[in-house]
Amino acid sequence: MTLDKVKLHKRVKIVRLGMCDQKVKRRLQELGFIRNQIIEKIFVALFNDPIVIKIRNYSVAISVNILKDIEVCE
Amino acid sequence: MRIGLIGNQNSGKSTIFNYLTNSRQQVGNWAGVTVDKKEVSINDNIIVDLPGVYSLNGYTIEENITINYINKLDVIVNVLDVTNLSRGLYLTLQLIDLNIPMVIVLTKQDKVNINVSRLSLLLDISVVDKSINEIVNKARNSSLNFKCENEDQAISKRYDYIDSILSSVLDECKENNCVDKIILNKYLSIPLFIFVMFIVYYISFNTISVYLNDIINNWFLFIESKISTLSIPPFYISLINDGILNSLGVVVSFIPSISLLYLCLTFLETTGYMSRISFIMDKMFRLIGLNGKSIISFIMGTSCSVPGILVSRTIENTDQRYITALLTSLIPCSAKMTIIMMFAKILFPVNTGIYIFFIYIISVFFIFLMAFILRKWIFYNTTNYYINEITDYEIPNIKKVLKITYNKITSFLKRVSKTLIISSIVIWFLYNISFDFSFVNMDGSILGVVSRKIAFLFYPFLGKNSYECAIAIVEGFVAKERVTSSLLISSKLNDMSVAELFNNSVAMYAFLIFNLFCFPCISSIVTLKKEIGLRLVLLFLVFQTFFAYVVAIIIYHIGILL
Ligand SMILES: Nc1nc2c(ncn2[C@@H]2O[C@H](COP(=O)(O)OP(=O)(O)OP(=O)(O)O)[C@@H](O)[C@H]2O)c(=O)[nH]1
Ligand SMILES: [Mg+2]
Repeated sequence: MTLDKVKLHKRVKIVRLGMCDQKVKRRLQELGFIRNQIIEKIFVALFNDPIVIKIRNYSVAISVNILKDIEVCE
Repeated sequence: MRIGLIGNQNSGKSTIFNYLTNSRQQVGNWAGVTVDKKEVSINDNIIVDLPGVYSLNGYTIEENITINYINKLDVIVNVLDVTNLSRGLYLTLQLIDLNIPMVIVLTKQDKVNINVSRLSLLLDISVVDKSINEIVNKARNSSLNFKCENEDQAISKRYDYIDSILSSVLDECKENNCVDKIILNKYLSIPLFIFVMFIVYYISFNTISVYLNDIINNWFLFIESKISTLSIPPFYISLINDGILNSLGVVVSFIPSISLLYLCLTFLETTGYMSRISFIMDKMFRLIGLNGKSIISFIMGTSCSVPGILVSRTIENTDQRYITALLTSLIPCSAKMTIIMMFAKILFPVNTGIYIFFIYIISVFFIFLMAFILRKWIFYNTTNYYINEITDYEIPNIKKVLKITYNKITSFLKRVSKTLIISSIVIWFLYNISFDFSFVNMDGSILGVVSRKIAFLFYPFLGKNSYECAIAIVEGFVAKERVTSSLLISSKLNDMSVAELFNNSVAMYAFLIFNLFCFPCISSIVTLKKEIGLRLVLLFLVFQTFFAYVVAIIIYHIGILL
């Protein structure tokens, strides 16, 4: 399942970052989006994009077109 | 010795820099306040404040400024925000691999308890106080090493190490703030944002500032009347009263409003609301080729376009960055505010603040329209990613807010006073001297003759050949507050009110709109050229001036029909 499809407030584990844009991928990895990291969607903006993700102990807002390439599991 | 402050965005580098060097670098509670390096020499050392970075792989222009600078440093001061330790430590571990002598300075320790000596031990780096001596004496290389063949492995290795030390140095974890349940609510967030901005403008332009404004105006009138009674030649009286005091008075009388606006915006900047506004507006902005971060440029641009344009550096995508920088120059800045306020007072003597807010809404509408046009025909290939940190809330410290506001006001005053008095005198002379250097009335003066030649250009939206307005528009190219003072000088010399310079109120509207959207002042143009290149800027200037011209004509012609 990809992160954009996950319900609000559900905690999931990152499986893989599948984006083609290597710069975006590297940035996410460096922000802590690495395999097995637990994350949670905490807020969505109007039109359901972007979405605030809680990772470790901070929050980062990310557009849905990026979340579509983040594979996660429960 | 060159000592650089390196840390995540919003970690508190500029706060420390200001403390160490007694400077006034801008500080604010959102990611990407500092977008350029700033060096200050203290004794034998050069202290450098740098833009924040999340890692040593630059993602945006301002991050690359820092990354390219690191190799010049003799000592790295790694500024580590203890409320965001895990992400901050990622950068620390990358910095350790550079083998440049380093120390750590911790910030925001008032918010979270941390075991400082254990952290220092585990990183094998000294954690020091905010003192240049300590920094210089205790800087050294760590024995740790996280280099790997493959960067993916290195990232995991660093995070594994971070996880292993976090629990032993941190006592508690900060909790999510419940205020966000309202502020970031899907349906409430945008109405709330509009309401907040309305309140900001209401406070700034409709409350105590109105009285202060009148008091200052009366005070200047009193001084002018006193000067008129002095027994000195009328030439000097006119120079002092009409040339200097008149235009100085109007700008000074707007200071209370502008100060209140700065105060409200600084308050918002300190709370952490800025990064939330960026999140709230992102989707709508991306639809028109902008980015949620554009709104920070726009809000900064309400003080002065130049820093607003520079802040667009935090936007990753080049096209979005260009559109943001260009459009920031259209935001009504404090200087344009003097034009808006002057007309607002004439057209809407009561509830001026609401009218000014309305002008802002119109400006935003035009800016969106421009963004749409730019995206459709010039920057049509934009891919639109958005990644932005939501910073923690902070209860604004009144002393800190007042200090930042004071710095903003003084820098506005410095900027304005530098040009205003000298250019007022020059303009007064040009209005009173003919080409053969004899004193004449306005009609025969250098400015009178020259501006009459170009006045026809503005006939389509003024309904007459007004050389007073023509010259004001041209002066606006130097600095926008000149438009206000130029109109005042010519109205005084003609013994008229500013309103009488125009045929009707419709022409005033058209004139106002034209001045808000035509070419920006020269310093914005220079900054834009530096940020995005001359060709594109020139193209945009022609486009925006043409656009402003057409809109002004439409307003005028629809207005007189109604
Ligand atoms: N509570 C608390 N707040 C702090 C401390 N140091 C800095 N801040 C606040 O943290 C925010 C960010 O401070 P800045 O100095 O602008 O941070 P910066 O690292 O220069 O940020 P960028 O320029 O965006 O990279 C501001 O709101 C500061 O007031 C501290 O020790 N305690
Ligand atoms: Mg800074």
